[in-house]
Amino acid sequence: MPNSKGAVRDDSRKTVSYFYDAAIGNFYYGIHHPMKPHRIRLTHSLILAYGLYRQMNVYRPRTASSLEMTRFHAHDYISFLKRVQADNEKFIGKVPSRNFNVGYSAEDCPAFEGLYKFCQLSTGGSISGALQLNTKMADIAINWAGGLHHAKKAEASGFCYVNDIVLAILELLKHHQRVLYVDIDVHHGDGVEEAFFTTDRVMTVSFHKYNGTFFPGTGHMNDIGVDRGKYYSVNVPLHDGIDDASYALIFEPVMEKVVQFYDPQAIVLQCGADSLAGDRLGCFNLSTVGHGKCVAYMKRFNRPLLLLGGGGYTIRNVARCWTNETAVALDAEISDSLPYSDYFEYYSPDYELHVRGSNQTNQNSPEYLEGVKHRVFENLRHLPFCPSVQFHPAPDDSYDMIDEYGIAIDTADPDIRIPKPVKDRIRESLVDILDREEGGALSCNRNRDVAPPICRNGLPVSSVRQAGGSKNVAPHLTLANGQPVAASKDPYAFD
Amino acid sequence: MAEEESLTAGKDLFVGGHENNPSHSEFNFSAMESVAEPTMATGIVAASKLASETSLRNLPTAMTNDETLHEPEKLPQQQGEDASDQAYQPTLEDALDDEATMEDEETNGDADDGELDELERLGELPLEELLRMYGGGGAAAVSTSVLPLARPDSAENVAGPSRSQNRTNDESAPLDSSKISNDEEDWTTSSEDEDGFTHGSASDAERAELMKFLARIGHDKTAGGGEDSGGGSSSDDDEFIPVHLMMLKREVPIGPNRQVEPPTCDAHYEEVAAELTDEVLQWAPRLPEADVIDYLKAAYIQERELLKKEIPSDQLAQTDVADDEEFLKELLDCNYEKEEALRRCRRNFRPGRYESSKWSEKECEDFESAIMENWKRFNIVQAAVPTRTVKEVVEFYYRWKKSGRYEPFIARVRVSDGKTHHNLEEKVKLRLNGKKRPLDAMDSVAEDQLADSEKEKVPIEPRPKSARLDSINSAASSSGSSGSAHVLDESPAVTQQDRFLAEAGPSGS
Repeated sequence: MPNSKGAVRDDSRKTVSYFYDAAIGNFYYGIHHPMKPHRIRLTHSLILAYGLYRQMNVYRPRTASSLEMTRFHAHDYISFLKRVQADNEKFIGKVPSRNFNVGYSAEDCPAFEGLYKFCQLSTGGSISGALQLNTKMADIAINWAGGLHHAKKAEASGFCYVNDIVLAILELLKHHQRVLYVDIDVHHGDGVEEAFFTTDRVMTVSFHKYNGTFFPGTGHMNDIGVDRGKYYSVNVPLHDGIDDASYALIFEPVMEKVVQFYDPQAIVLQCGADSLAGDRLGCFNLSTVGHGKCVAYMKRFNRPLLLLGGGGYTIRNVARCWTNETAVALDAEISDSLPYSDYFEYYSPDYELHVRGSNQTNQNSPEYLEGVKHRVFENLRHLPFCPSVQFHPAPDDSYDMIDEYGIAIDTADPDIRIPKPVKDRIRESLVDILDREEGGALSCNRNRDVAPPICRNGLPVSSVRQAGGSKNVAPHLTLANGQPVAASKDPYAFD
Repeated sequence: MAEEESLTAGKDLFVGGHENNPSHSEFNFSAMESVAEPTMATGIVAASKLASETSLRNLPTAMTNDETLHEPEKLPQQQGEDASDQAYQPTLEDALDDEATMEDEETNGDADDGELDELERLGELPLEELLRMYGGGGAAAVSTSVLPLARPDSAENVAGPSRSQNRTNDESAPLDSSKISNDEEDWTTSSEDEDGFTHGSASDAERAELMKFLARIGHDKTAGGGEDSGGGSSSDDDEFIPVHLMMLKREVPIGPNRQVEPPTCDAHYEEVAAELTDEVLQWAPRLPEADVIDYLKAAYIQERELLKKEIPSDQLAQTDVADDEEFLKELLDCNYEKEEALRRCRRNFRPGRYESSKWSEKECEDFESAIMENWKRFNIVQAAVPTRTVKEVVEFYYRWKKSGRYEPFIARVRVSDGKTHHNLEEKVKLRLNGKKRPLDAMDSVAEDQLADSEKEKVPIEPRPKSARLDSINSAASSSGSSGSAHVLDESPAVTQQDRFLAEAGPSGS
């Protein structure tokens, strides 16, 4: 039963599936390249040492086939990745327009030996995780080799070649109408956002550093999606030096509202560890505790959860971070003093688990964070949980989006036909709200002459959202889990 | 060639900005330079020719590109014909036609100078002039300013309608700078095409130019452009998104080569279950944890016995043990029968199962000399150690870096080179690849090496041998007892001694 916080009570321990292939740590991007797959092996050895391994279902993942990859990526791009080797770099250099940003001229995404196999392993783990979530074999699936969120449909970018996240989400979408993607990497999750920019079946939320020039340069607060995907992309731009307290100050309210409004049926969380303090490429100041709290927070919503890796370039801290988050997923208590493991020397001189924040200046003022949060909430209100009759502004609201005309229409008696001149006028906003075709997020057919269903008591209206979808649903009021609507607190209250 | 000079001159004006971009390189510099494709550059040529009168009358009547390319001799003839030929009127679009105008370039001697002068003039224009030129008329301005003319000729703006949706209300406030952003954003989206060639460089250069321009007029975050803004909501915006950032905003590209269509939500469990055959289960927790711990303990003890090694009593008393993948896999395979699993572990016992086979002294030496020459080019290093695959070499490298052999190696490098370790790296780096690395952190030399070597200067107490019962301890101690010194068997005494001896030769280990 949802409580006022929007989360269901914490259940007992979850079934966790963990995907790891021992070969992943041997891939090598190149001299001076900051991305080191070895960090995944470091993570694995810590997980063994802490005794976390024995608490999970451990799988060696499939190697994803090119057929699976081309569910998202372009065929020529994937066959290119198969063909390219480190020794035919020169060949690639001669035809730069067809190198998909891979290879000798592109330093970010070199053509290293075993590149294709590396992509297969990374992607295979994510797809396997999604499959397990779909079949309910696991409540939480973990693939630290995945999370490569910058890869585009026909282009490598930012050390990512195959976007395992998009492929995993596509797999989840076969069983779930709505999937939520959350990205706490310091870089904007542009590959995933772009792939789902025009659809409402995936909501992408990214917390990242943004100043226009920091890679990848996208992730502006005003990027909210287009067409059917409008308002289904959320970008939270941040400045340097954000610490645990400030991050929680914005992460938790935003995610609570998102889950409440969007009501996803599955959650994918990219746990990029370059948002930690002391990262080689990152500039935030999170500790592993604060980073892990994000995982704990998303776990509380009790939806199928896919945990993926991502960025992270100070590899000893990456291993610490992801080990801690594995423990969070398992609800296991582990000591701060690191047990002996392979590569134990990496953790000198302290040999402790947690990474502390530094004394870096936090350039995110509370006012700035408040303003960003405010803007995000404004955009979230456009989601089809209609502004209800019981709407009352919360104390710090100062916006003027109230469309009184629209509210009057919404709250009109649904049994009385709206006169045509009025209807014509409101058609544009209805287009935003209504979901005409099959397969959309709401998945119901509405009689266009009738006003959209009203939530009289402030709770979100969900049409029937069972796996498999439904047609011709009468717009009655039920909650997503099938329970009848009960009077409850106002969704706009900030708690 | 004259035409190439003008091309590069044109490029400098617009591409020069990219050096300022400190972030990850997201586009191909060399693509820009090596391919003669860039329509932007040739567009500049064409556009500036419009400014000079002579070029117009020289536009060939035959507009098919192939003809003009293969038969440049025709053009002088056409010069005479143009005066009398009224059937064809060259238009603006024709001026933008690449190959034709390039051929014209070649044959017209003074067109080059005119263009260079034009570009120079633009470069010297005062900022307000530029602003007025670009701002006045906005996207529609075609006449005098070079910039809008040089827009790539693809007319379809796939993202056109959607971009306007992305604009927020406050952009209705008419700003000169926002008109620039309109221009620039049109540029960005229309230059996205299907074949993967990133035209992003044009807009990035643009952006860099605008940044420089703004820096010059003293625009910064705190200024926020408030004086220009119209409505209250736009000033709200400026608190968080200063005007110059609005200009820099990259639009998300939309198109069939970008987005993906979500599948219908109608899969059935049976179908999916059939798909789940490729994942190989390594372990699943079915026993109570206490039982698993007991089993692991028994397996470690057994292994120690087989290695003929004593087990300290404090380890036996430990309540927790590390996991071991192989032991647990055996247990899984035996359907969780501990006795049977222990028997199998005994049967499958191999002494060196944690060092994937110990590297011999000769291999280590070959590896080290190869590393000294080639640093981390592992394919070359592997060639020096032919008995190992590249993957094994990489794995060995990570262990070796933290082992007792590393310090003596560094010392040797210092002696042989007469320079510090970091200079070796620089030297190798420059020799291999003279390109400037686009990543921020890479500018600091060999950061991880620095950190590592600094770390090793701290006198570390002997690595705390954990009291835990685990396979690593058993393996390590077994190797110690065997007396042969290999990489992973470092004695603390040796390392501390070597650390302070700059002249140390290869250590005795």
